[in-house]
Amino acid sequence: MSGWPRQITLDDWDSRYAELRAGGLREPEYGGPLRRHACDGDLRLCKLRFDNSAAALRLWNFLLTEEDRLHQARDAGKKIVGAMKDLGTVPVMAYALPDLVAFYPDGAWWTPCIMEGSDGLLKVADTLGVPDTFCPVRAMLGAFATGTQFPRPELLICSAGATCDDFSAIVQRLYDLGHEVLWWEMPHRRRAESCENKVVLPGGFTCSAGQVEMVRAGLCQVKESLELLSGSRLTNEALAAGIRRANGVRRLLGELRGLVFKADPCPLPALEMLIAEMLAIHFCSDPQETVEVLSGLLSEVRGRIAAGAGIWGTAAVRVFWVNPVADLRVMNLLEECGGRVCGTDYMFCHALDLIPEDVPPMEALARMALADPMVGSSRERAERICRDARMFGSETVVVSRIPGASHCGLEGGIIAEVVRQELGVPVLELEVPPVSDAMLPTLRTRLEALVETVREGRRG
Amino acid sequence: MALIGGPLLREDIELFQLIEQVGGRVVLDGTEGGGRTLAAPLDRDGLEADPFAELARMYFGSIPDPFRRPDGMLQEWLGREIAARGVRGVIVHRYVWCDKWHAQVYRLRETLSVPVLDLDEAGDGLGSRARRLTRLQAFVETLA
Repeated sequence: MSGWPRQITLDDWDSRYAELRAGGLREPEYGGPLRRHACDGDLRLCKLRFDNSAAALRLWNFLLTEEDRLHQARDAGKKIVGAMKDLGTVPVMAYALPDLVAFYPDGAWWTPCIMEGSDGLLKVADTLGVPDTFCPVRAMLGAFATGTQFPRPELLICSAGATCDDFSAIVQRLYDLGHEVLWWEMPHRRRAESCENKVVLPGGFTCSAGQVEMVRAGLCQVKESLELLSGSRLTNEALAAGIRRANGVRRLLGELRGLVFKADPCPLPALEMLIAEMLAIHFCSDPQETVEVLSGLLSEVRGRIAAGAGIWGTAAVRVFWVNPVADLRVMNLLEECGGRVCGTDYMFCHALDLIPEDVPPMEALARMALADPMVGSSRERAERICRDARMFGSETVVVSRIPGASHCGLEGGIIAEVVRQELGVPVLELEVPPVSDAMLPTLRTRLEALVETVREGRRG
Repeated sequence: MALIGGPLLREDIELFQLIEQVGGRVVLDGTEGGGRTLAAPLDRDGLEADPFAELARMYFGSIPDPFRRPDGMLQEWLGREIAARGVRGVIVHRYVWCDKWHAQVYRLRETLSVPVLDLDEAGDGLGSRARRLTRLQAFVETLA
């Protein structure tokens, strides 16, 4: 444990960094003070509150240097693969091949938040016919058009079918701009009919064996393209090894989530946990370093729990959070209002569940892809939320809408209905824009009211 | 005019009359219920050789729609039909929540040789008839 845990500002981090360095902090090559990222334009950092541990510093530095890592990979002769929308499937294949680096171009959706709009990506998307009636992931279109956020990938892969309409339309615009895209089809997940074989997917959803076979066939085409790009054959053995490595990351995250969401006092803030979960999608372009970063966080959390140290005590209301926030600041806000995150569905639970290791590897990936909470019905998703919320002892559920995102139009009502029926806990639905400063008073009032409601319920 | 877009509601049927009322005529119905979504004619030889493959060809292989990825078939179909029918203007009738047709509008303006009207509507049956009429009238006037 690197000091008593607390949340600190970017200004505080200047002195904290010096203190850690003086204490013998050893950093990877991407390490350094957080301040430099703000100086480079990541202005939102000035308004966030961070965990004060060396492990959290490493996490943030890892996240905020991904662009450099991609450029270094390109310079080293590696081929870059942009894996869009599948949130965790294609990168497992890509990293099982030599000299490929997969990343998640959709991640640019956070750039307008991190840079407080100074990136201009949303304005570029406006000029390309994708205005703010679309999800902020349209920033990705601006990122490709300007070429300022990441090197142009050699191969772009995107799932189509059971995909958010706005994302699908945005990638089509990308294609229109001259970016070749390899599409693979994701069917809407449905339960097996009585005449079909049923498959239980990671996380507990079920579907028909025919759907698994369809996705497997599509992923085989993706595999062929990756092999062509890499110049190497992806054998079952190599893919199985890749799956085991991905599961290694998922096990670390599983343990981290289990400890952080259940412990009292809360050993790690929600913001760092959100970033940690995001690593599972594409390993932030470096799977081995992802393991190191997560291991560091886990070690810090274990140390804090052993010492009885934490940031939020038992008074903090245990919140299950649904959907990632467009503005990271809101994770801080929840805690300022007296809440703490105890359970999440950031739309990529399938990237956290273990990939089956007892079936052929391509089938295992197909099963994992079909376990995506966003490719089935909102009711099914809500049922999983209830299961997980029960497991983590969540006292309330917050559904955080993403402005313009097509799935957010109706899912909140369905999730709220199921959660209220099954768990009998209060549900709050709110909307978070990429920079929520103007909305903070409203969001604060609503979150405070939720926290008060739960506390009142505790008094019973 | 070409009228294209997603499914029309009962109250949208008047669009055809309104277009005529302002001096236009629909020669290409590319809405969901129009000619665009008709399957290709059945090929008897193909049917006998492989009925499933023939059905897939008839439906999946021929119906242009903005949901397809990539959506080049829609662009090709429109270009062909617009030229063949002497279309002078395209009206895209879309619902405000339909991202796929919304994103098409910009693309169509880039690629088509004729003007495009983006007729966005709420689809709740409460839309203003006057707004619809004014926009159609202005569009036809610009083409006159």
